Amino acid sequence: MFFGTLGMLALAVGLVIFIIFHQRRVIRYQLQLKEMEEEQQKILLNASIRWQEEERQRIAADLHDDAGPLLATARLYLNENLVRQDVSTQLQAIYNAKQIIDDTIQLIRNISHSLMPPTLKNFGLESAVNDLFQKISGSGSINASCRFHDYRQRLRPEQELLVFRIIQELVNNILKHSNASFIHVTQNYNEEKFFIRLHHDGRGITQVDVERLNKSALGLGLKNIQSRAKVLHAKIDFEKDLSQTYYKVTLEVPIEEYEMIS
Amino acid sequence: MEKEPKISNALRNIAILSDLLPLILFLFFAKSKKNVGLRVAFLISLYSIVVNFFILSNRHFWQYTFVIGRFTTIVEFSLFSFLFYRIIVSSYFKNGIAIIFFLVNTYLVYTLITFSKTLYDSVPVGITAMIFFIYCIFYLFERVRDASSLFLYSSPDFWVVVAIIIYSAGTFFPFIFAQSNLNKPDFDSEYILIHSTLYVLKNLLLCIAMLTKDKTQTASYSIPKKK
Repeated sequence: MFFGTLGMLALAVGLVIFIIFHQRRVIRYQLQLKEMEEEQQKILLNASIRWQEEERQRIAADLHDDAGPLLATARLYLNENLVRQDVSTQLQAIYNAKQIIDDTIQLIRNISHSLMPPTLKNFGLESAVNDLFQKISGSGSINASCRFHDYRQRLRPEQELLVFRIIQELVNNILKHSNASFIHVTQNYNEEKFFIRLHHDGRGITQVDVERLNKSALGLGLKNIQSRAKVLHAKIDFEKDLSQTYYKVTLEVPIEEYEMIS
Repeated sequence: MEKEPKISNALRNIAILSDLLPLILFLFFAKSKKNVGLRVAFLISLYSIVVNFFILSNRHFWQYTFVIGRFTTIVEFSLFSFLFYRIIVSSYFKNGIAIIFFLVNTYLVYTLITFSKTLYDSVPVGITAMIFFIYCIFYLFERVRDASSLFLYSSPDFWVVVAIIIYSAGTFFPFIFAQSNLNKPDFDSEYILIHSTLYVLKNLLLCIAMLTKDKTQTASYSIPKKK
């Protein structure tokens, strides 16, 4: 009886101790996970702030270096001495000033379009991506094509903008780093998810590279892509195609977040 | 030879008196009086005090010691079943507890009525001890599996369950062997030694429960559940 009791007691105490230690391990694991998540959030936030600053600097530079001199030149044509000139010189000066102002309007329109493409706003994601790819293909350096298999129902405008920005950033990265000869984008959706798949035959990256870049200060564009995907509650995967010939990026937007506009 | 009964008596008296500790702590110092575990522990202690101090202290009731013991098993089983019904989350297990409660209590009442008044019955005590042991294991594993329930040992319920599991596990064999060996002096002293020690330990663990503030917090981070 004595040993049986000891055995039962050992079993009970052992069980309680196991539970307590297991709990402590779980707590430690959860805290680590939380810290990692916070660290990741911090990196994404920093990337987002840096990207915003760079974008502001770009717009400031465009306005200062291009629009500023153009308007200054127009002002020179339209100075006070103009009234003392003969009519033909006056007409020539006005014509030149008008030309410069037209150029400035075009420049500001371009800046505005780069901030919010009018095609995206007016005709949706499919048209905006088509437009973007036509411009890229038009340059002749790369063959860019896209095919939307099922886009009868549109995403919400803010979601379309986020998806468009992700595609734009991915295409930018491919043009800058991959040396690819073609880019192909396909769209599809099933009952649960909206998919965008982007293929290219250049030098690409896989999920391992993405995770490595996430831990470093490099890969600002990539971090932006991820923070946008996070806003969409979407999943983004970088992988090499099964044929080992192409690189593939898949964006999956969950259907519950995919509030469609008929 | 005279020393042994003295030690046994002292142990028994300490065990009986130890019931006062959780009772006093609950009434004057308990941090979470609304906690179901503490309320059950308080009721068990109160019942034991009533039985030991007011009923068994009277010689007229000594002939009913085993009947009172069987009735105590029913009271303990009912209260602990209620406790586990409240603290276990799984609805399947809750239904199981309700069914087991009905079946076992029917059997316990049956043995209370039919079994001899002068014999110790090990079967009901053994059955209830095993059931408590299983309930405790299930409760502990349920808590471990739940990622949102951190700081398990900050909950009074945990200490009440630890008291139950240690007491049930430790007294299982003494209760089983008691039916056939209770009249043997050697067994009697060993039984009192084990039972009284575990009884005191149980009450001390209940005291820890009484002094524990219910700080069970929900984790601010939890692993997302698969749909």
